[in-house]
Amino acid sequence: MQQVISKINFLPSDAIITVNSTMVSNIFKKTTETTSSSMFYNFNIVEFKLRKIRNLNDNWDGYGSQRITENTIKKSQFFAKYLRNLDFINPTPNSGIMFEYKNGKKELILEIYDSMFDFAKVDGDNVEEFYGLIFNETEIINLIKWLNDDI
Amino acid sequence: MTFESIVNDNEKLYRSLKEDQIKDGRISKSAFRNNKSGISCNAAKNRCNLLIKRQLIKQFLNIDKHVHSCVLSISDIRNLAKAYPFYVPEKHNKYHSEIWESETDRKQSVLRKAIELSKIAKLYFEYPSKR
Repeated sequence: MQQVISKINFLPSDAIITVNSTMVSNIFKKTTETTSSSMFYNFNIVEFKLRKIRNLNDNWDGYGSQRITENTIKKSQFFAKYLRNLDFINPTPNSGIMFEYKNGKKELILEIYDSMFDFAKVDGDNVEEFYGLIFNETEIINLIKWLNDDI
Repeated sequence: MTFESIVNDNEKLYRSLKEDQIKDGRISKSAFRNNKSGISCNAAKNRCNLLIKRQLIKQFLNIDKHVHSCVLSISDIRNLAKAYPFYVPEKHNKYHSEIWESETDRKQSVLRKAIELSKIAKLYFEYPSKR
């Protein structure tokens, strides 16, 4: 029997997502006991926002930007399982999706495209930027660890 | 395309925002990314607030149900964000302006500029107002 762990009720009725143990196991490939409730919260927010982004048409910002490709959305879904301290998630005119995380004075800005990503690490007034990186899971995990003071 | 550098420190530029680009009075860096051209804005050009707002509403209300916008001062763009504002009038919008990466390069290619511009931008108005 599936155990319902979380149900997000503040979203519009068409966006309510019920999280059950089977779904969690499939997504995280690990037991539910090791998965925090904050991860569920962020995961659902991201899924909801990505659904909105998927439905955007060309000129979604009134400045002539093109819609976001399905491949970019799929790449972005990858992040949902690592999210903590999410501040913003928005499409960009480069047909990318920008994730902004904030943890005290530290900020991590990731812009994801079809097969590449840019990022900037902000720590107070210091800004460190990297561009055109090949999509690499280890690199992303290290960035999120940096933000969360795990490394 | 005709363009002219904006040198008047009293000039202001207005940029439309999406609702999801605003949180707790702060503006997302994504609002200041661009594609092939500079970051599009509307210049005040000595217009009163009413006329500026009216134009923004007319321009963007057909895109979304709400219109949000922010304002940037020319002195902050030049001195704090180290970016370059230009008047770039268009056929249907004589107030159209752009923020460029440099005096010659329109595209803002670095995230740092988006970070700086989001710091200096101030929320201007929303329509319809929630208050």
